[in-house]
Amino acid sequence: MGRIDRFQQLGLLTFLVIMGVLFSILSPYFMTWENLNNILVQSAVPIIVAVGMTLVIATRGIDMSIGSILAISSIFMAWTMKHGLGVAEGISLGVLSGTVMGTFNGLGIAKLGISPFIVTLGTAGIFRALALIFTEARPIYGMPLGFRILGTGQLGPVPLLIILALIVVVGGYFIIVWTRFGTNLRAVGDSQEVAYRMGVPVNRTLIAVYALSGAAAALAGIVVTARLNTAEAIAGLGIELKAIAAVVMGGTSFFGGGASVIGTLLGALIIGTLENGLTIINVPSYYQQLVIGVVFILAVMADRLLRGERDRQEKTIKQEAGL
Amino acid sequence: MIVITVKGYLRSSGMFIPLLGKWEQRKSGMEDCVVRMEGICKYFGEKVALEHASIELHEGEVLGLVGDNGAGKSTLLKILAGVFPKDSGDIFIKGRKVRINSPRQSRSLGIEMVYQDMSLCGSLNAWENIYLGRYHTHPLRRSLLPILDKRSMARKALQSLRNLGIDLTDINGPVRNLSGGQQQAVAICRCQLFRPGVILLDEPTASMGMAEREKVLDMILDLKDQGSSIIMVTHNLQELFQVADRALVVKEGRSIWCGPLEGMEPENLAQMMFVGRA
Repeated sequence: MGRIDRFQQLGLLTFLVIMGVLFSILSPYFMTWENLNNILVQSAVPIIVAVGMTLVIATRGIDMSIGSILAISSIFMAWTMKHGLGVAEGISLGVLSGTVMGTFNGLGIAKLGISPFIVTLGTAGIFRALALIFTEARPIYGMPLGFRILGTGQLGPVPLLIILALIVVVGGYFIIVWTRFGTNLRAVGDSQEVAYRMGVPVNRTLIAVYALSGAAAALAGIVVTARLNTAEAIAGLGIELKAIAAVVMGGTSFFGGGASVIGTLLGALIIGTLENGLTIINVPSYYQQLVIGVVFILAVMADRLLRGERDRQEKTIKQEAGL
Repeated sequence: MIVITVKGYLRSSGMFIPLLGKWEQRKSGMEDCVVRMEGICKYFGEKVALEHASIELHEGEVLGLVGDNGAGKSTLLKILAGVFPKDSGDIFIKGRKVRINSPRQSRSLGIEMVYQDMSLCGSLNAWENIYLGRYHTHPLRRSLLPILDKRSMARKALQSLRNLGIDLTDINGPVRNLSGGQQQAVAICRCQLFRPGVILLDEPTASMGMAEREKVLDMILDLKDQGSSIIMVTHNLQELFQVADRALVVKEGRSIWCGPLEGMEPENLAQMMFVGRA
């Protein structure tokens, strides 16, 4: 982890603490165990999809289809469980369907060379439409008890959903920091041409990254379905914006080359705390959308500023070296 | 020893000088030939980059590849490095005909290239760049899950850079923060660490200061001493005469002259590069 990453993460943590202090001054209900638990549970879905999005953005890509993949995989999972399959089989098929849809995105990007934004925006529409057509816009509810426990159960004082989100964060961190694939994806994000010249399997890396993003979206689909005991075609609408905001705020640059899952976790927690705090102090929900939009733009602007600063530092170093 | 006979050659000051572009080779002593490329053609749309270009690299030598801008020198190297596919022609490595379709394949044949732009990932650190695509791993605890052996890679990279005379204070910092000479050292170290048989250098001293330039030239001679065979593209004839044993002149996509540099004047070579004959 570079110095800028550590500095940025410390900044995010400070921001989170200041926000917490502010909201607890504004409302006595904010700093309670139940509410903090609630923030974490509500943040589980954004955290899980944002980890997948971190991998994607680290390759200079974007995945606009995670909301639709979340919806269609949760419908698929619910439908299979309603039609007699066990919980484990239903979950496995759900995650598999998300992975397949992600792979489809990856193939379009890597093999056809179409821009990630275009491919995933297109598939977002297709997957959402398929979900609506398949369910005729009706929700599927009444999941088996074994599945519902995932949404409501606890391990000691910690809800299972939070544990699942933390497992995804640890998995994402492990992939980026400790695996060949993690270094490959950062290299691809830095420069596809250089990565190719150095023998990195660029296409395979890109396909795997989008497949993992799809799998993460499907995992988030499990969380949503288990919590609400319902699968519906409109689930996960707008989740992309939150995920991208969390990732960029967390220090993973749109310009590729670096990825920080811990930063993403902090970014997602900031958004979750912001939403929760605004609700508690009775700010109407449409203002919350406005705040998240503003936070997103500020995060992107900060990314540009930091990159500009880095470029300037680079230039100065080279000038000092007489190059 | 390879004897080059070329149709219509004049013999002047101990060298063969071509009058016509086409050359033929009598394959005496071909066994010490590490790389042979014959009749290589490459087209980029309508543009002819290489037209029946040929090259021979002997064991343990430094071959300078010279020519005017756009002559096809870098293209020739990139075909050997697997970056571009050739349109026609044959490539032989140690006498065996090979197909090179990707940089990965080229590396597996023991060929490494240092690119003119150095081809480093700026946000990755020095050892990550050096080991990119060829990481050291070890199993996590007692599992079968392979994880990066960061300590071993960082240590070996640091040692290897020290051997090249470069002491990095921060091996974990991004390479974009390094000076041009340090970056070039990382790029050369990436080649040298895997003990390749053949090293391709594309303008290794371009845009460098005098001190760093000398350092890089020393590194090239060290690589030669370690037994690597080297093809070096350069515009700087002074450097060429400093490190190369032979030179190959490429003009308008064709190889027009090849011979030893010993006893040759840089002016003759320059004339050949630009006029096509001495």
